[in-house]
Amino acid sequence: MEKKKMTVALVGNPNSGKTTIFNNLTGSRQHVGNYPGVTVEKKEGYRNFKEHDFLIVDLPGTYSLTAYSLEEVVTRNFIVHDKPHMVIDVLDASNLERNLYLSIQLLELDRPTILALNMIDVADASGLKIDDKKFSECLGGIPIIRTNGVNSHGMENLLHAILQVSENNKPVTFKLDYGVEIEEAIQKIEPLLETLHQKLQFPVRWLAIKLLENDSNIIDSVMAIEQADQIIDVVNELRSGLVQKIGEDVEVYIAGQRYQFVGKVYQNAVDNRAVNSVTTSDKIDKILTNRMFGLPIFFALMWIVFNLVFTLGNIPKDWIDQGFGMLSKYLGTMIGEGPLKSLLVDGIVGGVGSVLVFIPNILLLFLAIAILEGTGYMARAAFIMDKVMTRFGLHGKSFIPLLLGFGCSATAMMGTRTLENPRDRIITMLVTPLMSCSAKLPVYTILIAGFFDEKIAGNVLFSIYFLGIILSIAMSWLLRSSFFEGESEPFVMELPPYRIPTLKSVVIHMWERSKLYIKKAGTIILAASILMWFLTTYPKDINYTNDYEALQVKAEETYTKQVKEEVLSKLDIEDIDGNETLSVLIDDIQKNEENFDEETKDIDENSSQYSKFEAEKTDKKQQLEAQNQDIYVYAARYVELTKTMEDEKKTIENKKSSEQLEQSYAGKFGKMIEPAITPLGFDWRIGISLVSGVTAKEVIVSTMGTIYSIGDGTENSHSMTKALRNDERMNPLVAYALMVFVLIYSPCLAALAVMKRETGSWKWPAISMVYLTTLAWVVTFIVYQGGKLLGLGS
Amino acid sequence: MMQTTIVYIIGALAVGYLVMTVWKKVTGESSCCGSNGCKGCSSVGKCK
Repeated sequence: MEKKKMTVALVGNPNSGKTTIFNNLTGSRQHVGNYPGVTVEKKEGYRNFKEHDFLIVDLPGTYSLTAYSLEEVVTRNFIVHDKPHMVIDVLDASNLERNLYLSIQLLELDRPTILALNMIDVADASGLKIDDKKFSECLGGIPIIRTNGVNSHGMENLLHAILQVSENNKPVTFKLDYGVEIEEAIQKIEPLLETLHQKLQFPVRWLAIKLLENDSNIIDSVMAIEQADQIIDVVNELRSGLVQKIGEDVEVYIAGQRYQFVGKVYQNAVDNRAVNSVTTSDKIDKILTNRMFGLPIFFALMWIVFNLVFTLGNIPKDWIDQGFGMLSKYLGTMIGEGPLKSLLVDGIVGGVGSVLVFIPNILLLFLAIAILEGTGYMARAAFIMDKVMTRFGLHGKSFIPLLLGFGCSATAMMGTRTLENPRDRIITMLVTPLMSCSAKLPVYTILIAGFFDEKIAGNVLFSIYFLGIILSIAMSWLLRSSFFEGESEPFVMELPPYRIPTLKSVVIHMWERSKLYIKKAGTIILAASILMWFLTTYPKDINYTNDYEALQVKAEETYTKQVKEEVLSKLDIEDIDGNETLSVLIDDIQKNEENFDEETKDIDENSSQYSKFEAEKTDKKQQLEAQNQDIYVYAARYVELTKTMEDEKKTIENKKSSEQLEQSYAGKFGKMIEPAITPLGFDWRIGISLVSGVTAKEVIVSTMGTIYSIGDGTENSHSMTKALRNDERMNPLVAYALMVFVLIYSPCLAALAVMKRETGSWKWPAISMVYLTTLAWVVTFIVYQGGKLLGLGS
Repeated sequence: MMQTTIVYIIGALAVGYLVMTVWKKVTGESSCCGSNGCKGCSSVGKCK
């Protein structure tokens, strides 16, 4: 038997828990957060229940169905044009009065509706007593279901109610009496709309009310229909008459009538006598949003987050780094010499591996964001920053998308849909890339680990994020006072109650976001790494400035001659194997040296640990010397000559690889742009990485991984931090300048594409790309040249 | 020779993937667009 298909729309105020219910019903893992405006585009999911296939649509949160913001238009158009079989109005039961304003507007749209009293646990805990029966009666008998999205309570009841309402097929009987004057006007408009409402698909009464409210979106739709001008003329006349009769704007009066009705329903159905007027959230807010301490607490929290992300994240990062080192060694031995081996070791493991090692840092960053979002602190952060933002001309509400920018700029740009004013939207989109997204974190981590002391690493990372916030505020002010002049709108934002986020929601959020990072590493970063390998490896037919083959042969000949003269002839043997004791002793000396190198590779030469290993090495050396007094000097000389020869061959190989890299397609391009970035302290290799980073910011690291791996000239990919440290052109000042440039310059392709979609034009992405890259150049120039003047960077 | 051929195939696949990704981003096809059309994508630009 074929299942019956039904469309169910989830509607409600922002932060009423629609997406949590959506996730419960559909088994999805859409992003939820304890602050308004998380869902900005409608999302769809499916659920099978009792011979029914439900298509469940999660709509953006909205406070009303006027046409002030995009979400409101999206929501009401969906309900009217897509005609869902059922509308579930999700209400925050602890904020019932405010949530009801939307409910009555939904009921006026004449679609079958169910009210879900969500977060009922919070309402119960606060002492609120809701009489479901009375509540339903006041609203024309619509079903009321108690739900708690966090623990999935009430989901089955909700599905049963949908089926029941659908089977009863009872028409919606709700009608709000707006008073004699308005009702008379409605009655006069309704007959004029009889033919028109079928074209527009809205209910006649609702359409009449909206025309009286002067709803710009509806007026535009009506005007688009032929001979509708007369209707608008009649409505305008009625509006003028009403203003005189009621003594205020019709829209305000209608809203007032709705609020009055909501108040009556609330009084009838809700007993709030036991509600404590000062909640725990209020007490916490007295500290966290305090006029004096709010801002310092916000920055202190950020400082803690970035310190933890760096210090804790770097421990497992090193293990993964070692894992990739072993993988490249293994691949190096498994595959024969040739381009495939180089592609796998230098291109893929060197590129993708260098991005994947940052998974622990990324997980920690998203864990922190999930906790801040889940507790409700994000909304407080926007509230705290509003004071600063409005002073610099940016809407306080803009800080929510900006905070989302710590995760991903593209998502943050979509988050600007919650802003009513198009001017605020554009400014916010233009400054969002200045908030450091998670993709930039690997670049910072690798540079900080390479050039800054562990004790100040967290502070350096925090300083970059802080610089991003300062620059975003400064640029907002600049844009607002130059190209986007105008009055700033007042900021009204709901502060949700603090909640302890569930472990499940935090883990899901952390994992879902991190999964995207891993997916990106396996798709776009993998493809970009392969492309970069080609561009840095080809063309192959290069005219080298030196005959490197001949130099290698010469180094080996010199070595053989020296070994013969200084070791073999002195001991009167043909080769080393001719004297077993000598052969064993050479092995022991080499092992002693190798052990020491391995143990001290990550240790500071001035540290006590280094001195300890050095003393152990000397002890072992003295032991070996005492045991083999007659031949020790020759064995030691042999080891020394061998090491010198290997180092020389490696140097020759590195020089050859460097020259090959410089003459590759990428190298030539890098050299071409080098003059533009030399004043910033960058060389052509950084230039290539930055250009490739426009694809996705993680590609900066993967490109550097490939370049340093190929430039290294050896078979195995090495730790990039080590490779950067060995680069004589790099120092802490250049590293910091590079971090500043990466923080500011052009948004990635995904962010640019979202900007184009959101603004409907390529103009803004182009402006964003040019202005941010110019700003990056100027700020980095100041940082680098200023640093040099102060004597830093040596 | 064998290694070179494999490397070129991998390279072609990577370039193809990158071109396709860039094309999708530029033409605006996004998560709200399904195989059966736009499904009422709410973004201002609407996906094509």
